[in-house]
Amino acid sequence: MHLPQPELKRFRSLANALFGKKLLALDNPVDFIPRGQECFLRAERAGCSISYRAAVDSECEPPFKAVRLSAQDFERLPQDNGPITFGPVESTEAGSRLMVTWNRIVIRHSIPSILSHRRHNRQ
Amino acid sequence: MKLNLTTIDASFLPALREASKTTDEESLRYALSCLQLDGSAGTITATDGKQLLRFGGFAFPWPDRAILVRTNKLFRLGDFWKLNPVKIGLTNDSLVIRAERWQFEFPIVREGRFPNVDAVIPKPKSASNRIRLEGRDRAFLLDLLPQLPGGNDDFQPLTLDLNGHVAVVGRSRTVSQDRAAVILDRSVHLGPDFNGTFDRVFLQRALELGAEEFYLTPEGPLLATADNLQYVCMGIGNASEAIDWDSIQRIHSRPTVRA
Repeated sequence: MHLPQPELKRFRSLANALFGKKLLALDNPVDFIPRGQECFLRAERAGCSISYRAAVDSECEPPFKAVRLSAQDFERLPQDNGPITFGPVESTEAGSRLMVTWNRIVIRHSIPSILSHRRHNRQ
Repeated sequence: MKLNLTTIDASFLPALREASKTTDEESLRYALSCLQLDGSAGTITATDGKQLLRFGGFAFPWPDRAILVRTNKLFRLGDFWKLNPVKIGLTNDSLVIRAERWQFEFPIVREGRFPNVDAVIPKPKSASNRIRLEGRDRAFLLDLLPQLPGGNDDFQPLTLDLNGHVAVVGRSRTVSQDRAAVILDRSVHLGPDFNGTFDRVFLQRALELGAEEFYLTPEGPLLATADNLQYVCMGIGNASEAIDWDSIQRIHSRPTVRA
C-alpha cells in the first residue's frame, strides 16, 4: 500500500497547533489505519483529535487493522519525498512487524501480538 | 452512535479564526478562553473582557443549545481556516469539524460560565450617534491609522470627532505639535455632536473586520456592525482637551473637499 502525497508536513503542522506543542515534544503517537483504498492518519490528545483521510493506491496486503507509530518514528517519515509504502507485515517469533518504507529507509515497526497479550493476562 | 455532519457556511472557519483572537486564557471568573457557539441564535461569540466579537447567520445542527469550546492555535492557522467546504456536528463530548480530507474534534467545555453577552452588546436603537462608514473611507482610514500621532502613548488613543464631520484625530501627548486628523468625507454621521476617545487597536480591528456602521453613546461602549457581525469595545473617555482645529493637519479622504 503506497501513500502518495501523504501531506505529512501539513499533518504535523496542524497537529502541533492543535495540541499546542510539537508531537515529538509531547511524545504523542500517530495511528495509521488502513480502510480499503484509504488510510487514516490520526492523533489525539486531551480530547482533541486530528484525522487525515489519505487516498492510497491499493489495499494493504497482508491487511493490518492499525499501526501506532511513536512520535519519534513519525518524525523520521519524510515530509515531502513520498510515496511511503506500508507493508508487508512480517511475522517473527516476537510478534509482527510492519515494514514502513520510503526511498531506501525502512522502519520495522513492532505490532503487539494479541496472543502475547492473552498470555500475559493469563499469568 | 452515528455521527451526523451538516454542511456549514464557508464563513465558519474564518469566523472561528477571528473569534479565537478575542479570548482571554487567563480569566478565572468567566470562561473567556472559550468560544460560544449558540445553536438557537446561530452565533459564534468571543470576548476577552475588553472587546467582544459576535458572528451570526450560522445554521448549527444543535438548534436548542449553546456549546463552549476552548480557543485553539489551530483556528488561526491558514492551513486550517482556509479549508472549504466544511461540515460540522456534535458527539456527546466533542465538536467535530470535517473539511476536505481532514477531521478535527474539540472537546465541549462543560465547566465554566460564559458571560451574559446579550446584556453587554448595545442596542443600535438606543445609540445616540451613528456613523455610516463608506467603503473607500474605511480603506483610507485603515491605511493611515497606524501613522496617526499618539501611537506611542498609552492605549494609542484616537478621538472620534463627530461635529459636522466624521473625523478621526490623533494627538501625541509627548510632542505637542504632533497632531493630525483624517476627515472621512464620504461617510455620514447621524445624531448630535459627539466626541469620544478609543484605543486605536480596537478601532483598527473594527475596520479590519469590515464594520460599516458604528453606534455610539456617551460613556457607553462602541458597537460596530456589518452583515452578520457585531463588534463591541469600550472607549477610554472623552477627549481630555478641546480639539484646536487650527493647529491640526487635516487629511481628507476625498482630496477635492477642502474645509
